[in-house]
Amino acid sequence: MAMNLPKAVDSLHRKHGDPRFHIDWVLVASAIAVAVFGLVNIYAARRQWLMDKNLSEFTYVKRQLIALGIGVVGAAVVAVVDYRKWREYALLLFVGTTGLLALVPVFGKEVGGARAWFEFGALQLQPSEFAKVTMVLAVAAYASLGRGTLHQRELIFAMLIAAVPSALILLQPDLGTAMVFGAMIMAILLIAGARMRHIAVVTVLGIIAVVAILGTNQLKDYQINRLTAFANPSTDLTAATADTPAERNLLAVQNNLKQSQTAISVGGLHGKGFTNGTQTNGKFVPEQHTDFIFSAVGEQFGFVGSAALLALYGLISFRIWRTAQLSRDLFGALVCVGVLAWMVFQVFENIGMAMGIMPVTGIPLPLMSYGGSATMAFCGALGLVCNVHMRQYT
Amino acid sequence: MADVPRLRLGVLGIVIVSLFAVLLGRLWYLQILTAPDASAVATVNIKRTVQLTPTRGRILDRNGVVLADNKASTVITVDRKVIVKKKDRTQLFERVAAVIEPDPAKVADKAKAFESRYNDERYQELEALPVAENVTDRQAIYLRERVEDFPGLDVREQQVRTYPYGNLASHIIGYVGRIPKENKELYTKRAEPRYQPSDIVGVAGIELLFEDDLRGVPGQVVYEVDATNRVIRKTSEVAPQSGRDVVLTIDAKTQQLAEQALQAELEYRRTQSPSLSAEQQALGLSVADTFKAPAGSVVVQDPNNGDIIAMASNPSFDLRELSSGITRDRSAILNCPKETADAGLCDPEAAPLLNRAVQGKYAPGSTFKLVTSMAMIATGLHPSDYIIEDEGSFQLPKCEEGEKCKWSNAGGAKYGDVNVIRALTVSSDVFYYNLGYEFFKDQGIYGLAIQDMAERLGFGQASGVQLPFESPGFVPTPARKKARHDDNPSAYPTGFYPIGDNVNLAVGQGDMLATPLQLANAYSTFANEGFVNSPNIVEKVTAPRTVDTELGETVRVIGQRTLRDKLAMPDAVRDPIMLGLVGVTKAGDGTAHKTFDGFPLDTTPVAGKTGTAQTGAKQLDKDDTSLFVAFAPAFAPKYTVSVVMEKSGFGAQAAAPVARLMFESLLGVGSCKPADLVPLPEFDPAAPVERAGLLPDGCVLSTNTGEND
Repeated sequence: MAMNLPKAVDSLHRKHGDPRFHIDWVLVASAIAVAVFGLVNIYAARRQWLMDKNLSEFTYVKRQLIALGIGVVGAAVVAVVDYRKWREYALLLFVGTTGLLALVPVFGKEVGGARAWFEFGALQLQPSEFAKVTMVLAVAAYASLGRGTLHQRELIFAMLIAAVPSALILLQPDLGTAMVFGAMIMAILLIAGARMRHIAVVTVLGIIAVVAILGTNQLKDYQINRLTAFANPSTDLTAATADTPAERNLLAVQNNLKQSQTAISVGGLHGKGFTNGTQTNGKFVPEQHTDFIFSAVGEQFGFVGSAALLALYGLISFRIWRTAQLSRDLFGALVCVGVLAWMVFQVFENIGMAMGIMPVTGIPLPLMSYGGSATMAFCGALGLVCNVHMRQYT
Repeated sequence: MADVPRLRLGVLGIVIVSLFAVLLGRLWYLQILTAPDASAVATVNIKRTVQLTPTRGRILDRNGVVLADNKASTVITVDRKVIVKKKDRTQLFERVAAVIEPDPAKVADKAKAFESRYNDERYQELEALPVAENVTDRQAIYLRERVEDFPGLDVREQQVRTYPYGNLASHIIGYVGRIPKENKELYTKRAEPRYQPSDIVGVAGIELLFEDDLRGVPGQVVYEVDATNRVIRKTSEVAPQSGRDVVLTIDAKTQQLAEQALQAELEYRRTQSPSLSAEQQALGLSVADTFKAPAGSVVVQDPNNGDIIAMASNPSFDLRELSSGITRDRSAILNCPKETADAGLCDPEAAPLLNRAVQGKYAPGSTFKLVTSMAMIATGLHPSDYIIEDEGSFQLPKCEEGEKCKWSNAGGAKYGDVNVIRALTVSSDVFYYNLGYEFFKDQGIYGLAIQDMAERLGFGQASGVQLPFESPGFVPTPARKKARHDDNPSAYPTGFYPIGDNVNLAVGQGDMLATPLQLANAYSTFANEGFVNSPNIVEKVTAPRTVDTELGETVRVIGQRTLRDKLAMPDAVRDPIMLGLVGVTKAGDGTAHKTFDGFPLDTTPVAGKTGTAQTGAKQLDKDDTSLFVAFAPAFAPKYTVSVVMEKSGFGAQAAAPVARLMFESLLGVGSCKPADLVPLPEFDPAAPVERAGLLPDGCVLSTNTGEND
């Protein structure tokens, strides 16, 4: 077929700004790499446990793969529709997920002391994960109205928006997720142009709030144990002397932290190799496929593998940060910053917890930890970032 | 794009970079700086060692008859994980007990026994808990077919100790059991080879003394386990090495005959009563009182090298019963400690577990006259032709107020002029009372000559035979008597050794105590012209046998061992005493003459000595210990036999017939042949096989109603 030259040039010209040509493949590739590495470690962490129960060793890998599949499709859908279009629906989406959060205390299922889940047969959903996405959209949409400056009244209103889902999550109670919300809102407000002294005041108020929550017995003993165990890793408690449920719980948390750090330590420089982790195979680390997945990485793949994982997260962070810079408008940048804060806070908190320098909270390691809602929601969030990147010229 | 505040984004970037730096730093600290320490922690966490029990060595007699062996036994075990909860455990234990225990009334007790095993720290925690051994085939099949109904239950094979001949040589062989709680440290603190608290060890006899040889070297498997103690994989395995076999000097057939003869004679004595003097009857003693004859022992020794050919102790016990795991109550009856005896459950005089041949301490009575006779001639106190007139009693020339001053012959017999030969043959006490007196009076010249001679013959010290808990006996001297009193005044009220003690000692009475083995060994020393051997009951230790050998290579031979320096035995000492001892069986007035009636003494002379030792404060005739020690053929000795029977009367009447029967069989001079050995069936607690004194055809115990010594 003969080529119509002017038409081809025109097409090339149009394609220059075509979002399809501005997909951030580095971000996509590194996210896929982390997810695959996550599957590898979920497999190793749960293999022995499943084999002991005469179940397929791939049970959890398969479920995670399904979540990732849905997540990728979801991310694609999110990325295809212009993010400015999403902005129009931000309020609706936000109200929707907040409504779901409000329903959790009524219809939710209690798992591990917190009522954070909906259960539909075999399917479980954690609305707070999806609320992270919609909260980012909503706050970014409102805060970007100020076009770079945020006065006291707007700041307070923006914080009130975020405060509704945060409060509902605190009631579940899920302190960790509420802290993620806090980190996200702070990052968005910082970039949206809040005054530094407002930021300082909010930070101080936040610290006071945390101290107040800890000090006024609003939390149950087990929550306090989890939050403070990392600071006093070895008390004189032993299995024989732990009498009260709280003491036994503290002992369990301390033991969990110790086993996790031991697993990471024995990995050494090169690690023990895939499925050769004795701590991992021995099921010494509870919740190893979810919150403590990093201990499986540390033991099997050593410093080399763990540092590589950190590097991948660093690369993803850099790409999101760069997308924020490249964004055509403040809304896009704020969305990216929200997702960035989300991921960095969870990575720091989760890996820090596994290594004993952060309190124990049930926060998943993005794209690594086993868990459908978190995985799908974060995929959606990355879809938003991609979206912003793709439309940096249009 | 102008909206995006680059400075603030930069600040955010710096924060993020520093957070990652913190994580990387911590990672470096954990994995590079502190890795080796944690590696040690993890190793402790996950390695568990399970011991593999070696096959225990066998115990054989001198002809290769296997007296202690192993067999595969069906054992029921329960996986510990399914019975962690008390409720699950109780339920399962009760159901298993109902299958195993035939008596419905005892099912609850059995279930309780399982529970106490569960809590017993001696069972390795990583292994399945063995709840019942020696399960019958029917029970095993029943349980195997219903494994789904008994979750966690396993029916498996395990090596257990067997003793095919029940109570044959039970005191020698000993038995095995769990490590006794009271001396647990003896085993568990040992370095190599290691013991586990649940190990089976020898607790008596050869099983105990040759534990190190019999046990073998345990192997071990090292497992990697997970947090719930579940095995992940095997990391190393060292196979166990079987234990060595121990070959005894015992001849099992002779042993069996000795046990049968002893049992038969004890039973016979229980039907007999002592003849009572008019005075004794006046005291109210009834002729109807039969001998109690509760216990006794027989030792057969080769005098030339000290090897023990048979060693019987009665009452005995069934090794099959002990190896099948006996209850605490039954064990208390066999041991018969004071509390159990006081409760009337057992008779301490007939406690079965005591090996009387090496643990029984007896006044040797007239059998000790050998020693006094040798002392007399060897020291030169009197020549062999020294004669005294025996008028039936001996009176101390100078007698202190309140002390015994007069001693009489048994039954008040008068023997007239006696020299040492006749004194032995007729057992004149007066002759020896005199010597005891003289030796004490002239101790400035001769020292304590009787005691010295006794010690040179091996009395007063353990013989060194390879059996545990041997008694050294006691040779009384003034110093020892005082030391004993000072040590324990309540048991020994006086520390004073009057001259009368030496008079008593001369006839083997008073404080003098000897074991039946010491008596045999002393007569063997006389028989072999002065060699004091340390008797052997073990000939050698051999390596585990291979597929095509009955016995493995010899690891070590015990060989003849010397207990004391050789005793000078000039003819002047030996000849007259030999004549006296031969006369005991052969001379018309020899004390055992009637017992040996019909024995071919002309061709096979027997040199021996009867003894009737008084016991107890009342010194009743029916409480007398009956003794007889002899060797034959007298001038070319091949066997020494010592027989001691408690509360059985005259030595010639009770002990001597047993010895005679042994000589008949050993020397082949009569119709008595030892019966063949018959392995016994599995032990049945409901119907214990009584190996009563059924003598083989052609074996008859002689009877002697003579009344002198």
